[in-house]
Amino acid sequence: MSKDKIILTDRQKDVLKEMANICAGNAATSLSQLLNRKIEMNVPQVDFMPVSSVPEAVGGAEALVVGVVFQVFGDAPGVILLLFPQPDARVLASILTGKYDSSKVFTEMDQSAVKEASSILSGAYLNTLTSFTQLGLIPSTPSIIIDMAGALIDGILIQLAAVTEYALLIDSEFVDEEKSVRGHFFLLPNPGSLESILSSIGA
Amino acid sequence: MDYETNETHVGMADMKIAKAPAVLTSLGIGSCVGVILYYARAKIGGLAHIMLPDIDSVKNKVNRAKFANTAIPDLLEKLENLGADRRFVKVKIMGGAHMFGFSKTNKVFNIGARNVEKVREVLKALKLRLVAEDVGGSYGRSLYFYLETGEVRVRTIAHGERTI
Repeated sequence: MSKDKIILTDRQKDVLKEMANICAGNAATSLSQLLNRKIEMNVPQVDFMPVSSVPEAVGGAEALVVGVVFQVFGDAPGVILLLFPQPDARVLASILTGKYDSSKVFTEMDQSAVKEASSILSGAYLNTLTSFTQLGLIPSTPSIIIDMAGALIDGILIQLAAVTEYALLIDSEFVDEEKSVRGHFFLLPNPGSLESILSSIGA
Repeated sequence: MDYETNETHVGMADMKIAKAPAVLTSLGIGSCVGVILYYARAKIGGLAHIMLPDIDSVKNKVNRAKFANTAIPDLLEKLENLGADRRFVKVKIMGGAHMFGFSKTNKVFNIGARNVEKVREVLKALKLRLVAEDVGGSYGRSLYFYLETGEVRVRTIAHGERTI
């Protein structure tokens, strides 16, 4: 597998997609239990793209977003990024805190709530990924940023950019229909990690 | 020699040369650094959106526009080919934020500061004059570089807007 431009076979793509689907499904179930409401997860997208196109894929470089970032340590290091448009992040926070005040700024409490929901999602996602691959994967504590999508993502991409021109983006959209919360869950494996994941499942 | 004359976006790890009345933009710069070179006499200039400090420290050297120590000399060379005199080229830099709460001692997440430091070093070595900067902090920036005047408008979400 060339480091510079990794080409996945259709089968490998399908396997990744199926795995991401089950991981995301379990993550959605965990969040549903926490919130006691139905959370849907759409079929994940698995895309290879030039590093420079990633900001467009996450909604445009200048779009105002709330992002929660986890570093993933262990046998297949990488980064997990959850992105919410700001109004959606506020609604998500209000489901947890029981308070919604549109006149208020995004409070410390709201941030904490969004971090908590994100921790549940990423924890469940990684647990499932671990049971598939038998790889040890440990998330860092979350870091939350409210800023332009481009600014948020470039720091993450920089470490990839040292090694490759391409990023693998596994994107699962989750939706709470009733409250209309939409968010994106991205898994960005480091270049070497993708090989570890694929070989551990024999793909 | 190719250069832009309209509003043109310069994406991550890219660089562009332009001539008035062009506007060069880079949106949502975080830990990256936008380096602007401007030669007022001919109203030509360039913008490089660099991601990493040093091409010599990485294996993947495909794209020279990605690194401070290759993008800046390349940009200068392109301007000189268009007739710029480097003694009168003015430089402005923006970006280099520390976006994440993760430890500042962590090499990976301290990249903003390392980028800025390397840019200064390269400018010094090339004897280029840094006339304005808007770097650091922990927030994103969008840049609009007006070739007509050499001014750069820096837009942020929660930290105001300014022209440098």
